[in-house]
Amino acid sequence: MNEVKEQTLIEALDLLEQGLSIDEIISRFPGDATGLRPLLMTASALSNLATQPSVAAEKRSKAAFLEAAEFMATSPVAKTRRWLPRVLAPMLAVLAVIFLSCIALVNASRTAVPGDVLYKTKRAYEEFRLALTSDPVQASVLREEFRDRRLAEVMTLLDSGREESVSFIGVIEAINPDDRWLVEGIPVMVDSETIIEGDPAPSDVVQVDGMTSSGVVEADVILVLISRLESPVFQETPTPPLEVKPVETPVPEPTNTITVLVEPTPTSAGEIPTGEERAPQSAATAEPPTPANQLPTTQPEPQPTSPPALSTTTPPGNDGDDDGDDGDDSDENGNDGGDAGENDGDDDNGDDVGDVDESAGDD
Amino acid sequence: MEYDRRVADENILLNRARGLERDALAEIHDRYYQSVYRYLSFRVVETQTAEDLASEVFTRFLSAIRDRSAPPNTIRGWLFGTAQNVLKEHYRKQRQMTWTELDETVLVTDRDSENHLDARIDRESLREALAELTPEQQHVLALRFGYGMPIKEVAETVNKSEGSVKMLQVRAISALTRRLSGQEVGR
Repeated sequence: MNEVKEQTLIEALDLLEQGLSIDEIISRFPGDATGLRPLLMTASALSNLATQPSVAAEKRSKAAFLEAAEFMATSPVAKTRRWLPRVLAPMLAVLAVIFLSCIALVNASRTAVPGDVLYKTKRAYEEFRLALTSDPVQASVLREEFRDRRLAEVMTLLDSGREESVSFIGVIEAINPDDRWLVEGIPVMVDSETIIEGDPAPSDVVQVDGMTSSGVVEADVILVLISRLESPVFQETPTPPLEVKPVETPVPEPTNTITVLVEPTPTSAGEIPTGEERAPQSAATAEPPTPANQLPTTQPEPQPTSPPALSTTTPPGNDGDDDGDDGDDSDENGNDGGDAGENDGDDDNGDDVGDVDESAGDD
Repeated sequence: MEYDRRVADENILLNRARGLERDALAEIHDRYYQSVYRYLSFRVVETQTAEDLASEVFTRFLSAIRDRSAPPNTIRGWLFGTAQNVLKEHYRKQRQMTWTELDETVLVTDRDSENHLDARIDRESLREALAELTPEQQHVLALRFGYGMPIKEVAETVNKSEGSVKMLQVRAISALTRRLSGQEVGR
């Protein structure tokens, strides 16, 4: 049997399939007769192994098959019920896994500090919570909570001796002569390279950007956000009032409107004086001896080009000069001019502190 | 060309079946029941079991249409694939039963009759030897000798070349013959 080549057996099986008897096939392969016979007998036995179904069995099967199909066609509810879980179940499972993963990630990130892998997750979740909060009072509470977290994170880093970039907001509690400041309980080292924006003093609210190192925060930038001394309007409020520190800014450009205002009326009918002719007339009538398009020495009341924050943060009675200066500074601090403009009530103080906090955090 | 025409025809039939058209389903049953039954009877001893399993294959065909899970290409390929799975499940259940019923087979002893060559190998011995082949070999032999499917169609059904199927068949028959020869020596 083993001597029969596979190709010979293939040919012999083809002949068997064509209807030749075993003896006829073997006669064509006389050299392989001994080995070929049992193989062909096996093949022949295989051909007779299967049986034909009875007619009755086939009819029964067909009737049951068509009846089941009929039932299926007339019961769309059952069809839908089977189909929906097939589609929905995997989707729900995937969503559940994603949801649980997010919860686990957020929980794990609670104790993260700057420099940790999960710190960005922690901050992103804070942003997410803020974005979901439409109530301004609730939002201010959240911002204050997040500000406290930043302070706690810095303390953790200082305790563990890690060196990481940090940014936090706090009240200056002490400015010592040895350049060691205390901001909200956190020791801050100020040196000649520290960029200080504004004129910080104790009780001012500042943003400190720097690096934790050897138990202190080595400050890179100290930014005065709220100066208690310069905001008398809010001094009686429980939280430090928000005032943007004045910074020198260019004087606003004169507008054409001013030119119209200083245009003198003709002294006599039919005679329109030139600019040069108007000079002596102006002197006689106490008009300024300037050309019509030159900026007058006295600024008019708040210009429409001034940011809205300026007029609201300025105490009543303040003149226009201060307004113009304050405006640009608020933008530099990253403060929201719109928020400041809404700062017409006590509650908004907390909001504004929080606003600064978040903008600082984004840095 | 003939093959392409048949495939196109089967696709039309399949699409109608998906719409649960009674005529299409009846035609599918008429066209394939005997083949499926023969395939199953090649592998199981009892007639009643083969009938039950064949009905089960067609019931699953309806379920597949309802669940939109099958058959993707050909009805024939799907039916024989399902028949194979139904058989596996049957074997699994059977393993938990007693083996006493297998001893009821009576050996055919008419060895000298050249006119009854196939009768010299009793069915039960053949099935036992078949069960020791690989699943793929069993499937191909059942398609070839149970259904009587031509080599070309077997190749399409099992996604192999005709040459591979021929070689697989030859080796399966050789293995079967070796096992049966061993039994006969022992008698």
